[in-house]
Amino acid sequence: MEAVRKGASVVGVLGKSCVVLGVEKWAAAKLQDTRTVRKIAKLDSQIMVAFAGLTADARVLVNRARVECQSYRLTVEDAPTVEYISRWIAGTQQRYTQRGGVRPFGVSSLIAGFDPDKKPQLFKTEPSGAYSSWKAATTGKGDKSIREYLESAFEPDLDDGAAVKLAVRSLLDVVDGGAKNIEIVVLTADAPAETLSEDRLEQLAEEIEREKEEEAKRKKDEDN
Amino acid sequence: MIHGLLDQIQPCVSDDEDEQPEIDFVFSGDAARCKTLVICGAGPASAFALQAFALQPLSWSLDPEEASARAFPPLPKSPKFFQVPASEGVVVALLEAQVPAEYAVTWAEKLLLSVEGAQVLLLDRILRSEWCKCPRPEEPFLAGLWTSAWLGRTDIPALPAPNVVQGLVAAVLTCCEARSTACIVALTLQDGAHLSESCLQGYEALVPILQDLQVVETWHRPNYRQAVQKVVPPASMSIYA
Repeated sequence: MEAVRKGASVVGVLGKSCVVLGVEKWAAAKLQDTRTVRKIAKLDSQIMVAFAGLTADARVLVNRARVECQSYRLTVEDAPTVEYISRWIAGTQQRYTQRGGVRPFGVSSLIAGFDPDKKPQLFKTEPSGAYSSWKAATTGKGDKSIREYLESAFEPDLDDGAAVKLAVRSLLDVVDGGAKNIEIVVLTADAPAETLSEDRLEQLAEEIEREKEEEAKRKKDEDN
Repeated sequence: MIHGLLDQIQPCVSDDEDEQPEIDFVFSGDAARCKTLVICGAGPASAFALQAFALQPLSWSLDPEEASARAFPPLPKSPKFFQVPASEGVVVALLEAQVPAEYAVTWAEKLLLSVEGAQVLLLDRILRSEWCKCPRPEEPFLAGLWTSAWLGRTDIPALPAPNVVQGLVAAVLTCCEARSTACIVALTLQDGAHLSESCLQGYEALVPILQDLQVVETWHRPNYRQAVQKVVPPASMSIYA
């Protein structure tokens, strides 16, 4: 859990017909190829995972989960559900807490995607092996403050735009440097996962800033 | 054969050569003008001080009297001394490594004797894994202990029982209490082995006391990331994501 608390912030928001995953991007070294430093990975055609914690542990867990997804498809001739793969990842993490000579995975993950019946799902797993379904979840460094914000601002059945804005706004509160240090991936049932461009994120950040200013002004007028 | 058995019968007997040499420390510097001494432990405290305080080096030192190759654990290096230019009589001592517990009392006594009359502020850390009371706090968090002679602010929460302090912190507090010296110790919570920015942020709760002691004039939040990099060299790749 210490490793998870030191990881960059991750947030997931469930909309009516989409799931949004957002991560904080940390500055890479000057000579480092940033394309090889990713916090959101694809497990299956309609399932993505974002993680916080030890990079190497996450890499191993993601690779094993990908193999498990393929194995499921070969065996069952159907796509795995989000719940199945979350349970599998959680079970793997739990086994490493109860065996000699190994240590637990220092990773907490948000698994987002669509079941074969096109229902959006969001699950969270922890190093202990616990997992559960969430409407909006967060993990990593800014966990506490993002969770408090989500608890106050989340509403059920958000449309795609509102879900994305909620994810961006929750991350902007904890991320230094603004929208350029955020990555957002939007999953919908009928299209491949879309990573929002930097321009789009800048645009959203400006809209959010304007809304915040209007809210502050409205509050000030009410107080007066 | 009998001599060999005798060694086993009297296990407490040791040769003189095995005895640990007595270590003393020598302080050099013009300590008469020191009114406030800030001791910063290795790690988060030094990082915080280097980034948040305006410091000017002083050519003071606190070295072992005789460098002994037989001493174990190895003797601590002299802390680096600085003065705060804007304030008269404020001296900051930065430790680059922990002072081993075996030398902590002698070290603390020598330093405090040299700056007799000055009030003492000690910044250090406590590991979250050593926290003895549930629920364990999270970073950023600051807890403190102070002597009965401390009459300044005590805005920071007291370190709750049954947590204890050891080593240099205990030695400084004991020496100050015995001498009725005003002393306050501030311990920031460090979560895990790796230093993080939120650990340094814990010291922000100390800012009113730092301003009262004239260690800082006006407070501007420093860049904690840079502060961490001053004491911990950055890895070529981050192990956390």
